[in-house]
Amino acid sequence: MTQPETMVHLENIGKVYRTDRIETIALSDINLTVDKGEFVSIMGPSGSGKSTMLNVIGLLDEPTTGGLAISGKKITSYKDRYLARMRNEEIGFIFQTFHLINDLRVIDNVEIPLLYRKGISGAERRKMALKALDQVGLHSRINHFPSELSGGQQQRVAVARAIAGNPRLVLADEPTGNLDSQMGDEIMEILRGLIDDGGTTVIMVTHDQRQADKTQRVIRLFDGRQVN
Amino acid sequence: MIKNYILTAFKVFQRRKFFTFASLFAISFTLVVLMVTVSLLENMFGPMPPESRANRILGVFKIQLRDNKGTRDYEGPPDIKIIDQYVRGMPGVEKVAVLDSGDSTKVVLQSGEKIKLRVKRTDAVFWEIMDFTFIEGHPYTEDDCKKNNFVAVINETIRNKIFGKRPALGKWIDIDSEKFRVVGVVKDVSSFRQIPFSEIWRPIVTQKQLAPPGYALLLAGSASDIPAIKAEFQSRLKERELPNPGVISFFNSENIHWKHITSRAETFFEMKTEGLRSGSLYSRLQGFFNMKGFAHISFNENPSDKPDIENYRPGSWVTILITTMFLFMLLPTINLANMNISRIMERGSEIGVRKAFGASSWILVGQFVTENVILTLVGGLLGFIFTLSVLHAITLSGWVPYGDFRINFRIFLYALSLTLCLGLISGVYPAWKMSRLHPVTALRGTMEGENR
Repeated sequence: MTQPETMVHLENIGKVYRTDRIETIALSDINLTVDKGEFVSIMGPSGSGKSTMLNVIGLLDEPTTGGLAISGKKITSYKDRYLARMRNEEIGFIFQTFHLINDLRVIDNVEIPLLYRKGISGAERRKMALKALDQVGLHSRINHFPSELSGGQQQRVAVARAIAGNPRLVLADEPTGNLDSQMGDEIMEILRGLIDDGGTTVIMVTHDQRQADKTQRVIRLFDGRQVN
Repeated sequence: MIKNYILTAFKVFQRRKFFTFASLFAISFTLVVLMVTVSLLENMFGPMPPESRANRILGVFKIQLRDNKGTRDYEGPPDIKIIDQYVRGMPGVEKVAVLDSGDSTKVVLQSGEKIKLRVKRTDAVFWEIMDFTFIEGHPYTEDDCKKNNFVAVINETIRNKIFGKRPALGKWIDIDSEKFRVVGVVKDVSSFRQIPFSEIWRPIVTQKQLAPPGYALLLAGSASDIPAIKAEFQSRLKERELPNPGVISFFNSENIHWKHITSRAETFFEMKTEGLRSGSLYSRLQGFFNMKGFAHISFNENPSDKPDIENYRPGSWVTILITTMFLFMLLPTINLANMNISRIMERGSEIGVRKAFGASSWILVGQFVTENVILTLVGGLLGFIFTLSVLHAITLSGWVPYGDFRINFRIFLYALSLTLCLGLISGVYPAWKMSRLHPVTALRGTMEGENR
């Protein structure tokens, strides 16, 4: 039996926020391995460090202690340009509040990750963005602006943007948090499809036990510590 | 990527209409003021005909004489004997011309109507030093001056007024009840160019004393000879005696024995800016526009507290002018930078998203600077159009007789460079500051917090 490929590996990760007066421990001694193609959810009460953990995995935040590897690449440098390239090539993000750029059309929003990738022509970019929009069932809305779409449609655009560059890891921070249960289920179906179709790894932060139950593994945090 | 930047830029400008209006107004208004100022200065000082050789020309426009008792002085233009004694024959000087300051003289039109026109007397060398554009005929000659021939050169507007746009060569005009034959017609010269400016030019009689005294123009072999010529002139003033001090008829009408002379040879720029040297702002500006540097005759009773005419260096004025322009640009730049910070701060979420999906800080700097440069270029274009209208209005107003204010290629280049500088300076700092935002902070939409 072959060993599954490791997508995310966290080792003794700690994150401390310091101000002049106080020190807040957001994460403490986190050890985690997520395999390629796994669908993992992170749960915990508010302030337990879920989003911080997702930010550390997504290379948006630097851990105070410990080390991590993404897609087999050990992160040894936290220089802006290196992290930007890693995020661009390896990771796609989905946010609770969608974070679409209202001034841009749907298609332009989805093209954003591809803009920063070297060697992709305009035509290729358009083709990849259309394919991603096709995957989320929004092919007909490419020329709409985000404000012309429903919340569920906006989140689907955000999913399309996350997967347009074919990242191996998708990080979703409460992707269904702002949606009703039906739309939430639709988004979960799409995320599920990513794993089934292309072997993408998905790590999702959620408060919703019902959605967490649809993932393969649940990681629980409490006061910055892993409790299961 | 640039297309995406431009697309985003125009969307942002459309969405934030007040910001866009305020920015465009600040940029275009600043540029209008600067370009109009530069155009006026260009019209006044720029190297254009008939002053294309201005960098090689010196003038002696003013002398100061004091009597042997130190109780009286004369300040005004030199006379021909002074010019002969101190100005002619200096090493490095190729030509010396003599002219007067011009007079308002009655000229009779063909219709019989009498109008007052500016008439200036010059010698033939004047036309060799100044490069007028002749549209008909040629200048009068040295022979015309020697023989006191009644010939004249007129400008294009006067030709059109007197002869109705028909050729004027060989025709006669009536100046102060005397008939002058037209030998040449030149293109109009702006009255900002006080030295060559006139409407009619006629020969000066150089054989006799000038009445009233006139000015000397010197054409140096090269611009680099100018300092040496100035120094030589000063040393001549110190070393040489006044020519026959008791009998200089014009200056000693009251039998004053002039003893001491001071003067200077100066460039047109030095002469024109001399009025700015002292006094209140109002009197400085008045002095500037009335050409204080151009000599006006005055006799004073108690001259002891008056300074001698020393060498004046206008360098400080150039510095002040450049500093003023810089400060004038600085205000909208700071304002624009400030507005840019507010504008970009509203786009924290966009910065966060772009960073999350792989934009490095430098890419974001490029995006925001591009947006700002586009905005300033649009503002620059509007400013350019407004400037054309303002200059056209100034030309038509007749505020400056014969002033023809335009934007030439040089001014356009200045304006374009200034616009780009404005765009870059006001865009780079906010862009850099915002691009350094921590992505998590940016996504949260709050702009405080650590930077990365």
